Amino acid sequence: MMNNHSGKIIVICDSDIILKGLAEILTACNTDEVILLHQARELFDYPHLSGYILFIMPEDLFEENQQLINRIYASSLAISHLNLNYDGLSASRNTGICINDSQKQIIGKVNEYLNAFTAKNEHRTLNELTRRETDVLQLVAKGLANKEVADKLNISIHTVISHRKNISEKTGIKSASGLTMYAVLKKIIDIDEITPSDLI
Amino acid sequence: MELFNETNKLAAVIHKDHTLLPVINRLGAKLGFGDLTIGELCAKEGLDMTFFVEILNVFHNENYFPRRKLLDFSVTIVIDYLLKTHRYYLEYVMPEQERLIDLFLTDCVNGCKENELIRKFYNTFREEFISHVSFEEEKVFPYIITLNGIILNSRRKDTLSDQWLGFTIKGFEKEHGNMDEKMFDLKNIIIKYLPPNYDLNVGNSLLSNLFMFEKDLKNHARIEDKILVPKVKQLEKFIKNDE
Repeated sequence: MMNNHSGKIIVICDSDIILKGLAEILTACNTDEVILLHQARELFDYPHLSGYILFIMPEDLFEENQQLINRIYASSLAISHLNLNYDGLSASRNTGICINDSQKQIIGKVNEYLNAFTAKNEHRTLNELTRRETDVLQLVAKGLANKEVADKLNISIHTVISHRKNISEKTGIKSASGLTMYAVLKKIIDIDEITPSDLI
Repeated sequence: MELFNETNKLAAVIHKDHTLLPVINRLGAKLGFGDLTIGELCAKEGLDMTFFVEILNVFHNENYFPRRKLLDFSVTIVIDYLLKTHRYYLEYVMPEQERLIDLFLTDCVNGCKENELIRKFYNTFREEFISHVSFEEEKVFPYIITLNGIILNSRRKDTLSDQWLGFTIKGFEKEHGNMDEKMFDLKNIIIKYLPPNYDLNVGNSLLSNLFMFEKDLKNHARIEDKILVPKVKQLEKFIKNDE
């Protein structure tokens, strides 16, 4: 499963030259939104951001405002920080970006951070079924039809279908009989709980 | 997208995409054709060149679909190709898979319970597949050939015997299961989840075979859905208007 949910970038820096320059360069990165701010307190104007957020700002400024950031963006999936250095030394130190870096270096660095978000996300969604999804899988694997699963779990058939879609996306297995094999191999159900005729 | 045409040498085509080997066999070509182009070979063997080229392209490029061109073919040539494909699956591909699955299972070291699951899954798949194929060969294809015969001889609908009353290709469309989906699942189970308690080389042979089969099945279904079904709808409409 491919996850196209890329992160948002917030740049905080008091120099307009740097902000505008970065904005230009960041258009080439795998991000769906770039927000440019002069000061950390302007974050209050953007309280509803969700998903993945990458902050590009000087290290000391980030540390100073970390509590504030965590509070405002408590519901985001993940927050990451890329250091913005005003001196010319950072490229070799390999932490963050610096104003002397080339466009290519900056894009590479930013994408590396953004891709780390998605990698984390893929890892989680691919490997772990939620509790409810496991409940649904158990019943599907035993050969129950969607309607029967819905009745048994007291949920609507639409919910069952949506769970099944997610299960298939996460496991990479589409057919009901394939899911039975999966459930046995993953010890979600016992092999003795199924009869060969369930494998249809 | 790379498209082949009748001026291409068939040997070069095969070097580019060897998964076309069973396809050219089904189309009536055998190896040892030297430097003949597709056009020359078709002329020599008396094969329909346009059909030959289009099927190669359909198979080679998943996104290629020359709707209009393929609809110009007679249904008999399409059915002949599909029948040969069925024979290839039933007489070669599936016995070979069974052989590999048997090998796969005898090589399993400690407790074959899990590997047995693979056999069960495969057996159910095979049964389902065989019944799908027989339905097509005993019901669908004869129906289409009958329709086609009526149109060729410009007879009227009342010659369509009672046997076919109420039978439409639309009903068949629904019947048409997604067999390639199960192949995909089987592959993924082996790749991702089955503990590797088996000879790895046998496992790889089985997987390569499944990959080939899945691709072939997908294309087979595409040809049925995109060429045969629309073509038959055309015939049905023709007869209906003639009433």
